[in-house]
Amino acid sequence: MKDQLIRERNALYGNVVMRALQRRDFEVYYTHTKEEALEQAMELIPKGDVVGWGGSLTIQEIGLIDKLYEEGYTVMDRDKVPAEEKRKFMKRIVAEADTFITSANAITEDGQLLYVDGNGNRIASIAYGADNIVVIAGLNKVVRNMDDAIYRIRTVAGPLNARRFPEMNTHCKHTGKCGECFRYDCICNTWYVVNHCNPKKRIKIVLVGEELGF
Amino acid sequence: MKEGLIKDRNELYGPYVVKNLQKRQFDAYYVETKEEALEKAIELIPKDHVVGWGGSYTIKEIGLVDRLYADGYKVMDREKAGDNFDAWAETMKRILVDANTFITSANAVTEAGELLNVDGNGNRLAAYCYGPESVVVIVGMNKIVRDVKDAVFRIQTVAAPINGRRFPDLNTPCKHTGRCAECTAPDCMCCQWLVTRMSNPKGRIKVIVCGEKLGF
Repeated sequence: MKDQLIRERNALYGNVVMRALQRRDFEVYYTHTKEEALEQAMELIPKGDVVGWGGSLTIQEIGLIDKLYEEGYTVMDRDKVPAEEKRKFMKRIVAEADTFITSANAITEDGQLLYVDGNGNRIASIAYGADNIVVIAGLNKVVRNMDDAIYRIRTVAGPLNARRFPEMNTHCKHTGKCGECFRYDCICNTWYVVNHCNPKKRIKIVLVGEELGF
Repeated sequence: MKEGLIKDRNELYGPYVVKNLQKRQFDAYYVETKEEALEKAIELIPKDHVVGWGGSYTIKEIGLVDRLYADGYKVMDREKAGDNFDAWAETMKRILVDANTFITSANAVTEAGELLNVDGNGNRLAAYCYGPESVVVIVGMNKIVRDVKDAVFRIQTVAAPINGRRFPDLNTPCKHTGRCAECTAPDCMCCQWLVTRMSNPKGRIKVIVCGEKLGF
């Protein structure tokens, strides 16, 4: 009963967000479950494409990377290169991948995407990388407006992300809330808003009626 | 008299902003004139670096591109791609990977030391956040604003409408009314917004604040 009510509300609300995103020239899909999201994402990645991705719990949760390997895609896997070559490799992903898969840190109700990066590779790929960008986002990422998006990052995405890395030592990791720090290991150096998709439909967004990532 | 007063004030306010930029791990410098800005910029670009740039009135105004050619730097010149958009886009992507220094301005710099940039197609933003290992930013005092809200206002009422008028075939509301209408026109030059609140790695982004008006 409860699950059904949530599912119905999510489909309605997802549709509102979808229309707002479409007005900004994004290509948008809504799926009820993460299994459907995986199928939808695969449909959006042409078979011959070289595929790269940025750090994302969402794409791991829906099993997208495993599926790409299974289906024999050519991938640029950032986890397969040694640490000292990583920066160069991530730049090559920006310039050479055909499809880039990622999530978003927040999506506003009126259709803007917000990203925050420590070192900026994910933002560079979205800003001027692959010709085809596939974004998978659970409805938990949807917020009312840009102020709420920033609040979400400072109290949810930032502190949780910081806890993933044992060597990291930011204010947010220890207090659960952003301290506007200027530490060398700060993961919020660069903030990025996509207001409008240009060229039209370059960015495809799969909204999922489940909680994914954080 | 008036110019002397402006110079005095800029020499006080400029270094204040520079100090705030330094707190955020940017390398930052204050210079009085655009001639000094040019010298400082050249000093920050090692002779063996391959240099690329994004569209910027400021770097033209200080004569930086001409100087790079004159000094025999290796450059990746996007103008050399001519009118072919695909070749142009490919050059911009190769700059991200192959250039060592990227030179550019910023659309606004807050008093507290954040850089704000807006792009239609994103090549400049990509270079800012994950391109060449060294980024040299030259900004006139006219780009300094109080906070991010004022930075947005500046872009919506100054940078975008003026930029819009540079291109005869471009057709956005701001070009015709002088103010942003939050459009989603195909020609919109404000598709993507980037706030750089800190340089990572430390010193990767170098900011030269110049006590003159440069760009718009």
